Amino acid sequence: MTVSFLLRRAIGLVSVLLSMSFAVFCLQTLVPADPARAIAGPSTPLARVDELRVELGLNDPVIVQYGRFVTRLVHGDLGTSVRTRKPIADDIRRYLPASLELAVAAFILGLTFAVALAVLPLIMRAAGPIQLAFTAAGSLPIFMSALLLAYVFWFRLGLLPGAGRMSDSNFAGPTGLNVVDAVLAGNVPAIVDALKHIILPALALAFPIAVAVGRTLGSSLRDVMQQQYIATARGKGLRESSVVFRHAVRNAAPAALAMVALQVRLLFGNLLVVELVFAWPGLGLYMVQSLGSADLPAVLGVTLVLSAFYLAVSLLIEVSQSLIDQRIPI
Amino acid sequence: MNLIALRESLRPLTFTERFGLCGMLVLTVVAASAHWLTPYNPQSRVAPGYLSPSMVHLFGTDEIGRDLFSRVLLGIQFTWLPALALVIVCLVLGTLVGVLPSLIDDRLDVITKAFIDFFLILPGTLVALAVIATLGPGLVHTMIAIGVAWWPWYARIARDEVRRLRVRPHIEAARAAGVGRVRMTVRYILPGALPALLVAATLDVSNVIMTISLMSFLGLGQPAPAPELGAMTSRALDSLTEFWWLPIMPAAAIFLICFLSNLAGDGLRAVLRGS
Repeated sequence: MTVSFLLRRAIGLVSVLLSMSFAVFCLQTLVPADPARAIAGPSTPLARVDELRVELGLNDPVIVQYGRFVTRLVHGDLGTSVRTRKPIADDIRRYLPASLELAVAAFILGLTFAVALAVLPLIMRAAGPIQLAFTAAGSLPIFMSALLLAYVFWFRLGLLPGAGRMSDSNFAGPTGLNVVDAVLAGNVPAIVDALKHIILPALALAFPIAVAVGRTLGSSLRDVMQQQYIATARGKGLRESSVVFRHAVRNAAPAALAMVALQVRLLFGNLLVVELVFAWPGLGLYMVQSLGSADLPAVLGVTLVLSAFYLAVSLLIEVSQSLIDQRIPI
Repeated sequence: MNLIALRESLRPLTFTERFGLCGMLVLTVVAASAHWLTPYNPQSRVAPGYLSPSMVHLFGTDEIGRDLFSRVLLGIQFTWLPALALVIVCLVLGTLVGVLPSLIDDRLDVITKAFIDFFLILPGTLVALAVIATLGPGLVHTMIAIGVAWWPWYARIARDEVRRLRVRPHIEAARAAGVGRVRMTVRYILPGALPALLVAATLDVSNVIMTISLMSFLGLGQPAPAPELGAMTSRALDSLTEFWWLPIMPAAAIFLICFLSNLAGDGLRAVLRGS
């Protein structure tokens, strides 16, 4: 891994971000819904709406609006939300930790399930039904699995909370990740409360990840297990679990990692639905609300931040692929 | 691949994979002939509203007394056929872009790779939301919005397969024998790249259907009267606790389609691995 590679990728990422910001910006300026009308409400007289349009700079040429947008972007200013009337960067800073926490929890759960799902058929015999159950769970549309989880565990059984991040909504800490903050504060009831709140939405998000990654990992594991070095490993008397985990999984991992990158991409859509269903105050919910009120700057800002986030993650995955398997060039 | 080889490679299929592949065929037939299969007119009132499922109305009736079974059947058509069409269009388009360098000039690879990577790196759902917000909701618009971020996956697979195959002995042999670019691509490389593409496409059908229904759930899908399964589910969500069949039946249909396509994808992979 060389510095020049990272540099090249960084330049590539910035250019993708720039052209993407332009593409999305152009799309957004074509949107028929009028943000000025959305702020003013349906009963405001037309003259006042026009004033508002001038105030928001909506009457300027598209290229001027985009230039203004990029200039501010360089200064870390994403503009002001039409809906919340606050700087979007602040809004994102406020809502990002919640989404980040949820996404990380979902990936921890999902990848654990995925490895279990892929390895089970190799270790035990009756894994067929379990695998089938996983495929079934992964075939549920995301809003259905989220609603079913909420319906059963919250509405019917009352075991777990079905809305929000904490019982105490004023809970706050240095990182913004409630579980981490609670652990840092040594506050055991808060840890339990935060975990209880996160488990259902994280589970809903984890199912598709587990199924997709588990399937890819399983299929490349089957290929790897045919290889001669597996026979060698068995021949020198290693335990089967050691053969699978030390020798096979490592060689099957790069293909699965590519699927993880795809899942990060798909997560954004699922996050919108799951945060909506579980009233999780994160970027997904913010995005849904912004879309609902035709809040262009907010939608644009969130899209850019999430894209940058996704670009960083995909770079990370590419690097780790080549770390695991040195033969893969970067 | 001749027929005997095909039959032999079919042998290792498990029951569930067979079930998935057959199910997909049945589904396509049902979707294509939904108009003749519906027991009642799906778009008009045929009974009192909110009837629970019975032998007369298999899935019950909805809030204005339309037969839910007929509507779900039509919904399968409105969901399955567009998803299939979208996957096929994206598959063809992606494959074309992916094999373009091999077809015309290898130096094109740098450009196509950059082009593919650019579309690949776009966060698909967010772009789709933006596109639909611009064009307005509707079947064709939803498909365009999803397709924009979908085809590069096949382009990438096609490109990777081409690069993998190009160093194989039989391709080198063909090149040494003086086979031209077009013939090389169509007769020697494409058949080798097809299995990976087909498996990806089959497994993708369920992803497409889920994305379409996700759009509908967020209110960006087909407008109200259309019996699209995702839209039907989200419109009836409020009645989940009272009239469970209203959201559950269309959702179950989505689930069934996705489940079958996942099983079929596994089955197809098993078949093509054998060959």
